[in-house]
Amino acid sequence: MSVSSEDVMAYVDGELDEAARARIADAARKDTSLAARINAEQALRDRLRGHFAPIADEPVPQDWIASIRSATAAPAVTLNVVSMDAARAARAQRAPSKMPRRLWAGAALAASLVVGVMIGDRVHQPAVLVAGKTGLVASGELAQALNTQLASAQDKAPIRILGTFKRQAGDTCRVFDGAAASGIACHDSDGWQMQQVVPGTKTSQAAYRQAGSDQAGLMAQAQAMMVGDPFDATQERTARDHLWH
Amino acid sequence: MKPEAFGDELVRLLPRMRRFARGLARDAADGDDLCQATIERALKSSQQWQGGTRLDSWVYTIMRNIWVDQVRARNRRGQTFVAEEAGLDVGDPGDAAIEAHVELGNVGRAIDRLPLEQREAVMLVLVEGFAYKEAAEIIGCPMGTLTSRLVRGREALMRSLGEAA
Repeated sequence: MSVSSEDVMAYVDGELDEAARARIADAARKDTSLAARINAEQALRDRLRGHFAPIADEPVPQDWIASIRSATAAPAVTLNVVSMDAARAARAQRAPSKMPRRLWAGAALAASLVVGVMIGDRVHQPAVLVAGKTGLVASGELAQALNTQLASAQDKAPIRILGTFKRQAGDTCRVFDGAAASGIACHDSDGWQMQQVVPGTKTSQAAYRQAGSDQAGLMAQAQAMMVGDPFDATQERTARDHLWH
Repeated sequence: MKPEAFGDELVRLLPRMRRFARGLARDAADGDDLCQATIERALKSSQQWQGGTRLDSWVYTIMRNIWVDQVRARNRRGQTFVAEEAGLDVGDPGDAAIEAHVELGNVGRAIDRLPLEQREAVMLVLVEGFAYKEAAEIIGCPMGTLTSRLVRGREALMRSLGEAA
């Protein structure tokens, strides 16, 4: 029986079916040179395996494992499943710095009925800031927004009120964000005095605009100025109804 | 499969991946670079892996393709290489580079001298233990091509190592 190199190889590699395998094993018992070929193939296989085996035993670089772990890590929410205590502890630690932000978001987003907001005639009153006695004062649609708009009800308004608060001096201030300008204005007898003005958020999609770093900076400044918490929807409405005094 | 489970499986495969990479690249540092590139690509394209199929075959395919691309790119840049198998093969940096290596011992030297197409076939079947069908799929060649490369690769190894292997 003549056995090809392919057959010997397939025999050693375990690629033959039962019948073919038995046939070659049988032939090898009668043919010492075939048996030698099989042994040589087997020895080669063992030797190659032996040569490469230590590589798989080397410790794997930790940064490989770390990169896989970080790329496939479960979202933080599973912390709750793994350990409620750990999640609670983490939340408690974050709480002090998160608190004001949460209140702001609450004030701005509190769901409420949409009330009619007078935006003013934007074509004839383009200036939103004018020079007052002691500085810049809100004018036009900005003055309208500051006077009438509630942070809790301002869908699609061109100027958005980000929050309202009382400062040390006792007057009421509002943080606003518009296309032309954003800032902090505090109310006095002359109207809304600008405390801070930064470039506005230039987008027509008021509903979708994201607060930029300037806006974040304004919120931080407002945080520093305010006494107590930012107004909630009810406080804001009451203040407006009392004409911000 | 959840991402975490995918990550676990991949971590478990790392020692074997490293071994195959070393065999392809013929150098520890190049092998580890190849392994790292493979990890990155596997993580990036994890969505393309079909659950229920063998992750090791999928990862080996990625690794093998990265290496072949690198060798081709190197050859295109005109770096010194000796065409293997009269230019039929994709080619490797060639004998000069291998000769410059420190003595690796007979087995290492013998396998390093194989052309890539034989070396990858030998690595996948003899060292990594894949069945012919799986190895052919990883390489992306017909079964007959794989077996003929295996036969030639083995014969060359036998010659280098002596009949007693």
